[in-house]
Amino acid sequence: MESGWNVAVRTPPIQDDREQLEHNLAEFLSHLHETDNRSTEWILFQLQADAVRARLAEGFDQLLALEHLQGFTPLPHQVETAHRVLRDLRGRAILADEVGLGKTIEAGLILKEYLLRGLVRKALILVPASLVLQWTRELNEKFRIPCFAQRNEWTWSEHDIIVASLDTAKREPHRTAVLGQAWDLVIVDEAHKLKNPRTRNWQIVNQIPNKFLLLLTATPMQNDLRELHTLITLLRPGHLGNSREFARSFVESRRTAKRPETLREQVSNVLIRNRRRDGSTSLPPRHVRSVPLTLSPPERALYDAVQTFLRTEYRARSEGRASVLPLITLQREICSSPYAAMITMERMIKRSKDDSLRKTLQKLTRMAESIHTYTKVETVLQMLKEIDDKCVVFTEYRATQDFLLYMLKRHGISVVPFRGGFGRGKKDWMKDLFARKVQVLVATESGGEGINLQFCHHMINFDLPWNPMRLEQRIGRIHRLGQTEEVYIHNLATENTIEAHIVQLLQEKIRLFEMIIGELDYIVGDHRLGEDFDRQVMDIAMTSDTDTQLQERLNAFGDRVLQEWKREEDTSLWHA
Amino acid sequence: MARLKPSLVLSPRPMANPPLRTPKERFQFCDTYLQAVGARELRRSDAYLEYELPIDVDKELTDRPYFWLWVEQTGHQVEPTVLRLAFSEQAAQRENERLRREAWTTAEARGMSEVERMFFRPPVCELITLGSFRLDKIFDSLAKRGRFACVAYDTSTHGDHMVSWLMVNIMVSFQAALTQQVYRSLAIRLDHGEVVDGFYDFVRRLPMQPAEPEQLLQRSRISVSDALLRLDNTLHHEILHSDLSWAEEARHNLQQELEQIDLYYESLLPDLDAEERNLVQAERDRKRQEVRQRSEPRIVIAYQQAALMGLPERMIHLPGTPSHKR
Repeated sequence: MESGWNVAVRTPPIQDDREQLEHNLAEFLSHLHETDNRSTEWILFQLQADAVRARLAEGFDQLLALEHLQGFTPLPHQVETAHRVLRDLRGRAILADEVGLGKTIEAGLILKEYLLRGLVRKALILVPASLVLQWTRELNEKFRIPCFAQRNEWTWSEHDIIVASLDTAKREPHRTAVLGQAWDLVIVDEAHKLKNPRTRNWQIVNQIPNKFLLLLTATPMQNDLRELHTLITLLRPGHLGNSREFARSFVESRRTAKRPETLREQVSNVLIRNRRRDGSTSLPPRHVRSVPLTLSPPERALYDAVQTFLRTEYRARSEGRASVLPLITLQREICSSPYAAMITMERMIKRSKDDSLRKTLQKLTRMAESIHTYTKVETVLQMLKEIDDKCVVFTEYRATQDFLLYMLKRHGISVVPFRGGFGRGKKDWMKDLFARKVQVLVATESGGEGINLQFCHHMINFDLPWNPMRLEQRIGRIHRLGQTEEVYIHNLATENTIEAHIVQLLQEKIRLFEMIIGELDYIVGDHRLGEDFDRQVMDIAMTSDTDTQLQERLNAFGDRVLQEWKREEDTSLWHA
Repeated sequence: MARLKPSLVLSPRPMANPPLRTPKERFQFCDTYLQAVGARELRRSDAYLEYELPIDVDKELTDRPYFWLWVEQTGHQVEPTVLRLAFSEQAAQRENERLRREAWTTAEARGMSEVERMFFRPPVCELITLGSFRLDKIFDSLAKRGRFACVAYDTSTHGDHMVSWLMVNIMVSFQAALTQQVYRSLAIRLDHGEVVDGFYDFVRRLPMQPAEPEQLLQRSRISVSDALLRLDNTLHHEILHSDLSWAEEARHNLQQELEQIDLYYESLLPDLDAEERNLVQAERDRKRQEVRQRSEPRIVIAYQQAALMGLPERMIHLPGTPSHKR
């Protein structure tokens, strides 16, 4: 770089296979007289010339991968992201799009482009166990990348492109096998699991040999700016200094940055984040409505009796500093179905040593048992008839799920279950059945993660999670990228119960939440929306004396959460 | 050096019309290939081809080495593979419906059990697009079958003075964190050593006949080996005098990244004991190595094809550029 005349030093090394060619050509010429049919020689030569030129990787300005896709067209922001990663970020990046904007597609494009340009041969894709098959399938089908799901310790060296779970890779004997190979590209999905440099997750990713590295996460920092530093250190050690220097120069408090401008600029060299509200994607509208329903007299009697029990017990436990968790569960279950509540009540009977408590619970259980017709289930049956289309029904409880499955089947409605406990294969199978044959999928929350149901346009929330984040995650299953039609969300709201208030809280305020938390995923881990949220709602429910008071207090609570978010939004790194 | 095209320099200049971008071109390509390798045509309709493969081609286009090993060891007679290639979505759908209908009728005529009915699987066609499995296999097959040629211009008018050329088609890759490739075709006149650029574009449409190498090399004063060396030198010379600023930029980036890594790991060292230091230093060395592999600029010359050709002398008087000797 210094002197003008020293050309030789500056010339990059040149590899050349002339000798090989010479050898092969001589062989070809010397065997020609033995070849009987030479009439097609020139034709095949012409075809080969076309074949070579068809695969030529020309300028950097165009993605070859785009011409090799079949059956789908990536969105502009995805193409732009792939482009930037390849050209400006030189293949090492955090892809931090919000959930549902297609980080997988971006990673697939980048991998495909590298393969086509001959820069990557061996690639390792580390994802949560539940997503291994989905990734494998998507890369094979959408990108026609010949990749394999890792099965045993031999897979690592058998194939060039492997999808595996991070949890497997970090265990022996796999760990040694993974670390022993030179990977050209490593992709880590759900990379927020790498936010702590003292964990085995982080350490193995730091040790895997790689030329190019993509970290995919919707939440590059959940609770602490330093998490960002940890991730960036994997990509470019020293890019933001060591952790002490980083803390000194950039950390104001856990979630706010000193000199956010500078930090943002530095970060933009290694991180790309597309957000919904940037208009990088527009989804068809969603319609949310509540479906009011009135309990039958026996159901009403049960609900009131349970409320009385809960309030008394809540006061007692709060004073005695005993756990109110079972009460929260019971409160939410009784909103779901008497069947779900029965199971918790029976458990409480077994555990309790208090005779009068047991007696009350036994009485309540008997009341629950005597109810044979559930207004909610009847309503859902009616709704399904009207919807007359594919529909997801969500509930929080296994018991409710079982009951629903039983009732729907009895009424001749085709239905499959979906829950977290299913193995990967079964999940895929259920999803396929739902896509192809079956009208209704009854899912529990825990099963909701990682399934994409954009072919479905209706969702019934049989009961509601008590916090907006989880509701949003449910809705995200159908209202996501790839959804081409308007979607309808039906929330069951039982009148004169706490459920009606929750529906109102979430439905009225959720729009605000949606606006503020375009950063939705970013706060999945936020404690204010986790158990704390449930607990506070429960407290308000148990200690309000009248319905009006309950509603007022819930409203005030919603406002408070919103305000806090707004305040944080103004100071946070991502927003300005 | 004479040029057939105004300028084919090493800077990015995308091909005007990269091949095989349209269904029609791919249809033509596969059709020509299958005929050339001696496959038997079974059916042809709009954007659709059906061919039966000879065994040697079958081995190249279907990915089942163990099957062929078994066939050879057991001496089994195998049904030849039938390729059903669709070149548009509509054709694929149309032909799949037909295939199902026909297979069902045949099976019904033969008689099917209930179970057979349930598990009935008609043959299906495959959609041929860039990046599809079968097209890639055809590419692989061509890399072997179409690498060399020894041909002469098909001339019935005698008396033309024939001149021999050696042409090479080359892919040059300029690699750093990204690759850019340039396609080159150079030829050298074997009697007095004139080198011409962009040669393939000139000869690609010409009708050619197989020729004997002895015949073509009869009057040449330059051996094949020397000819290749001269072409190689020409290319190297050109690369050395091309704009290499991309490589300089890549080096600059590399240098920066290396410094960053050094700085970072050095800042960690003071807090560590001897053993930890060793570990951290080993990690630093590994990261340095990875950065080098990724970002160090290099150039790869990959010879794709070579052909010995006889052409009438008058044909090489090229439009606008009188041929001249070096």
